[in-house]
Amino acid sequence: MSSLRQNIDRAWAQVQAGWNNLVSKASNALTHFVHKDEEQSAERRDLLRSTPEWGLLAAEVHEDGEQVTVRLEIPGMEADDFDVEVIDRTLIVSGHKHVENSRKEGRYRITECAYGEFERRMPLPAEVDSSKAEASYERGILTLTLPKTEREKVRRIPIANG
Amino acid sequence: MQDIIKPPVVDRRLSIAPMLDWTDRHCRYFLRQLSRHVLLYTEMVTTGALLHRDPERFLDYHPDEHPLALQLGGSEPGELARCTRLAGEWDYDEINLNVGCPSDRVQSGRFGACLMAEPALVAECVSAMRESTRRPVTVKHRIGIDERDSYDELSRFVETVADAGCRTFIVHARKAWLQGLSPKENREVPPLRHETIYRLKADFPELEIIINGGILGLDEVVRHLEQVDGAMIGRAAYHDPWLLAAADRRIFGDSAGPSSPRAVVLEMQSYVEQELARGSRLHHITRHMLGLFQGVPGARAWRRHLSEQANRPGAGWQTLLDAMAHIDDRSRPHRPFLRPLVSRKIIPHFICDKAFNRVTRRNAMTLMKTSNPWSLLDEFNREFSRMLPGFADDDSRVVGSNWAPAVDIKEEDDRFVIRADIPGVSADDIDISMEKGVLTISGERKHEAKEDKEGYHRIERSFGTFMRRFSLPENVDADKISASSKDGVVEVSLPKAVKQEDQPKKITVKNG
Repeated sequence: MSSLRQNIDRAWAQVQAGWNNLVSKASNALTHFVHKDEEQSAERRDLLRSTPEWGLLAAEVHEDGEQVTVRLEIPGMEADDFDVEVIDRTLIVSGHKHVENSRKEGRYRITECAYGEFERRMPLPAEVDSSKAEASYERGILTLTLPKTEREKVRRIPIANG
Repeated sequence: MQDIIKPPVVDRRLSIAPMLDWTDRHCRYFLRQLSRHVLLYTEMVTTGALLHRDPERFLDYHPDEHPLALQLGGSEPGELARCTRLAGEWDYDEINLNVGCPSDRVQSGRFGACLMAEPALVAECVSAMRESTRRPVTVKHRIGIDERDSYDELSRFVETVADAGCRTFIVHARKAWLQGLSPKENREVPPLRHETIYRLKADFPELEIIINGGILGLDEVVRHLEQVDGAMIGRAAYHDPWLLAAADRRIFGDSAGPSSPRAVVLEMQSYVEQELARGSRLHHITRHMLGLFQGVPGARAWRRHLSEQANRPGAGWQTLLDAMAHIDDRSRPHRPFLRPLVSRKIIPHFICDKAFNRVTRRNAMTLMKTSNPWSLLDEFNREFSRMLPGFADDDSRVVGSNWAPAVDIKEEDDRFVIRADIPGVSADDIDISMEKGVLTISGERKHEAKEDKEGYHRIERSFGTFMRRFSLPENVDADKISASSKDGVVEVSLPKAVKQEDQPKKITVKNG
């Protein structure tokens, strides 16, 4: 019995540790998907209701001397469905992920993916020139290349190891 | 005492393996409610137990259990002969000699798998048993033991024992390591070699060859029946007993069969009440029934209810009804659709280092550093199932994958569609395979980074291997499964059919 308790305590400690870790890592990626009622058909509205309202848009932000690169995992979109803005030092990616529905009949048995309108804001590590930004969408990954402003480029002076 | 009436021919197309601590009376009565025809085996009973203790305890059974075989463990021909006579008095349909069990418990008594090294002794045992009964005497053995695992050695064994008059051989497709592996590891570690058994049948066409080992469902049974005379299912039958419900129809060509898992439980009422009146504990009956609602909403609550309540004083038939109240089988028929074997929800985990993902990690601090909370949950599950044997969900937990994609599953009139979010992975790195009724989507996500390792401000993405598995409904046509990938979404289309699947199959992912 005491070994049972030990096992449970240990397992519980692990779950807690994992949970804290998950929250610290994921809370930024957790994004609300808003279900708008504008969907035409009743089936689609039913389907939307069964999908989760929260989804993860996992991101990655990299900075080097010249530019900031942002990658965002958002599969199943059309390139035109994105809206990307930079306001001050905040990147805002918004869009509408539509339910894939090439065929009307049938019913969804399991829906784990989130659909609807979303917006994700991310602070950028440096000031960027949004007019020179480039975006590409490939294999479900949105990649944004944001060149730093001239001011930013000179701000950081590399220190050589000696 | 010789049997006077000629015993009926035993139909061995499908049987349930003798399993120690499992296939007791209660288990067999329960399984009988699922199939009228499947051949059931007792747990192995040693000759010592039968001859020196009260045989009633080991040999009594419910008349409904027929067709029923007694499995004996021993290596002393005279004792085996006496036990075989007892089996006749108790009216068993078949007497089977165990030459396959690798358990230490068994080895010390010099029986079980170690006898494979002594074919002459086994032959002697078989002939002593045959002289004591007109009922069929069969042998259950392995394809090999330890280093003695050549086909020559196996066929010599079969030949020698067949010369003693044994017509039926039940062959387990894994060899056994008598030293160094536990019985559980012996069920999992040595590779399955079904083709060795096919070859045996081809070389000994006059013998009845029954295949055993790693058989997960009726699809596989049907496939094996094209090569050999019968198939024996083991653990799959207690993890998911409902799989037997279709056996009478699919294997034995009889239209009978229970209509639902709920009906099976209700069939148990008089048995449960009689047994309780005789002093049996409810728990000893219900432990065999925990897996019955596998895949039905509420199954977990059913198991929990029974595990917690059935061994309390006063537990009775009402306890079973209360447990069944958790089951929600009205909204959908039993297992009508594709279901994920690992029910992971949408939250993936983050930056994992494969090395850290090893099962051996226990320490909470270390685990925190690995940033892989799912391994914690897996760990938790494993700990839990270790504490409560028979409680484990299934064998499908995917150990060693770093993340699992979220999926939508849709059933259309003529097909099922799985859409999995797998962004950032090229079609070449995605592997979709179909084997034993299980569809596996797996692969590896590599980082596309061209930039240096320094300079990351935020990493929420996970990399490395991923895997997700789905059990397929029986009406999926495995040959026609196709897959395509577009914008990070992989779509797998599974057309419905009545046909059986054939060989393990790889599905290529088209670039879209």
